[in-house]
Amino acid sequence: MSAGNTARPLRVTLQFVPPAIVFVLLLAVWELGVRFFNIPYVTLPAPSRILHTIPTIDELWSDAYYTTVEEALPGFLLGSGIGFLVAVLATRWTFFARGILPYAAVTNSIPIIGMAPISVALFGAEWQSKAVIVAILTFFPMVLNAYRGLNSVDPLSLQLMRSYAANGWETFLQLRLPASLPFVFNALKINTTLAMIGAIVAEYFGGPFAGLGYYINNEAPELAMDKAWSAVVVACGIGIGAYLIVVILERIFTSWHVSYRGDG
Amino acid sequence: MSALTHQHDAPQPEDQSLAIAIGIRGVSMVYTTRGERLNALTNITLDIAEGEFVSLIGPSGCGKSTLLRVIADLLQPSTGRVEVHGKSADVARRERNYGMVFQSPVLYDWRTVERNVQLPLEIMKVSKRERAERCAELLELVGLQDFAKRYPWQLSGGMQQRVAIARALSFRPSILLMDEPFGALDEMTRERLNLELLSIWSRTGTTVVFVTHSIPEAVFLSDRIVVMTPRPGRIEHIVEVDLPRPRGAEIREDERFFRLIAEVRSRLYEH
Ligand SMILES: Nc1ncnc2c1ncn2[C@@H]1O[C@H](COP(=O)(O)OP(=O)(O)OP(=O)(O)O)[C@@H](O)[C@H]1O
Ligand SMILES: [Mg+2]
Repeated sequence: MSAGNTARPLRVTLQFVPPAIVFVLLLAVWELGVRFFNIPYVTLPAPSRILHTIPTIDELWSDAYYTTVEEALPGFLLGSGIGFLVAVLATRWTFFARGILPYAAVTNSIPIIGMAPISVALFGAEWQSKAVIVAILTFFPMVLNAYRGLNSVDPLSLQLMRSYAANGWETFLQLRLPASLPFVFNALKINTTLAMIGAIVAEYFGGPFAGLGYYINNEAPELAMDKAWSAVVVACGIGIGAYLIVVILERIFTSWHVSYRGDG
Repeated sequence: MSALTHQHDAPQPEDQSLAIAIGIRGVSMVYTTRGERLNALTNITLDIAEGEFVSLIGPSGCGKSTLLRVIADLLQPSTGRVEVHGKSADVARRERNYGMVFQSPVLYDWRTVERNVQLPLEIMKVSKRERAERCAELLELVGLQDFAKRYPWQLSGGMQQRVAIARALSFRPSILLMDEPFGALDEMTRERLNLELLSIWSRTGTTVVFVTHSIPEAVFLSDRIVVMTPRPGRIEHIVEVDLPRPRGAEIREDERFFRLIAEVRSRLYEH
């Protein structure tokens, strides 16, 4: 036990070594490739140039990243929250499950690019129309995963609950909810990515005249590729940051789960 | 509390002075799956006395688990009924008379050992202090006091099963229903847990219904062994075990022990 604990920080550090090496190699190939073949920056800017450009773009820092987060975060919370609620109701009432789950699957097949302009027409050019797109996008992964998680409990543990004369609420709180957490966090991880994609793509289709997507969509046709790439890098950063926050929460709330039972 | 002081003196079921803990009256169970009917139990009638230790033995599929579930009110019998302390099985369950132990420990991975043991008490709204006291007492009883803060997956199979037993005993159920609780364990662990179970049973005075595939285990533990046969599941014979109590490991060397094993075996293989 104690040996495992002292070894932990080292093991965590080692975990990051292989991807870090790959990342650095990739950047090196990119940088050298651009220089060696003399590729003009309007085609593909070198990483060093993007890195120098990022801090110089005022729009990016004054409102672009903020605007996108303002659309993605509420949409993410709304879609994931409603998704979880629907999964709970579907678990509680089989009838509801039969009625609603097919429609939940339908939301997954909505062509989101096609929906974006319609959403603007319905909810206006401000952040709300983008948040709705993000909510639709993140809803289904949560319903699917949470429903599976809530129903992943061993029938014997349900019989145990019945033998304690536990009511439905206690069975939910003590058994189904904790059992579903690993699945729920999986959905949240998928949804951080979907939320960023959803918000950025939705911005291509009209207002607010800010946001990372809007910025990329404006600069790329102007051949300001270093600026467009800068926005992409910032979007990546936000996405990775959100993902890491979810991963940390996951570790805190599901530390008991198989995937964390160190092998040392 | 009176249950804790109850003493055992090999109850005789014919003795009318002994109260009946479980009365199984003409229970039949028919499963219907996709139109196919399967007679899992046919006309089972059996009285189990308070404080008695009864084992169910029989070939796979003869309905032992089904009978246990019917007693526990986890299944509704197709016909017949079960009375527990003169009440229906449903009322007995709501009044929390049943402690259950299955072949797998069914512990909750997200709870430590002590919080697993306390789970039924939490559901039954027992105060935190009382829960902690009761839990410490039980972990001591099953010899796991040093593992209270561990998680189930950090324990061996035998230790996990002891946690499951402690959890089943936590709320002092008057009846313990055990479905092959030691079936997945090695012989040595099984024999040690058999001894532990007997000592717990003699201290608590709980009525035990115990399903097993092991003839020596049934003989070692039981007051009576109910031999069942399949298709349709019914009681073939009941073997009285007149070995003296308290029983220690040395009884396994006793000539009467072997004679009883031979008797149960011949009953089992009659069909
Ligand atoms: N839920 C169910 N639906 C349909 N048939 C069932 C169900 N549960 C059990 N059965 C059938 O009922 C019969 C008795 O099953 P049961 O589990 O009670 O047997 P058992 O004596 O406990 O067997 P084992 O020793 O293998 O545990 C078997 O033929 C089984 O296939
Ligand atoms: Mg069985």
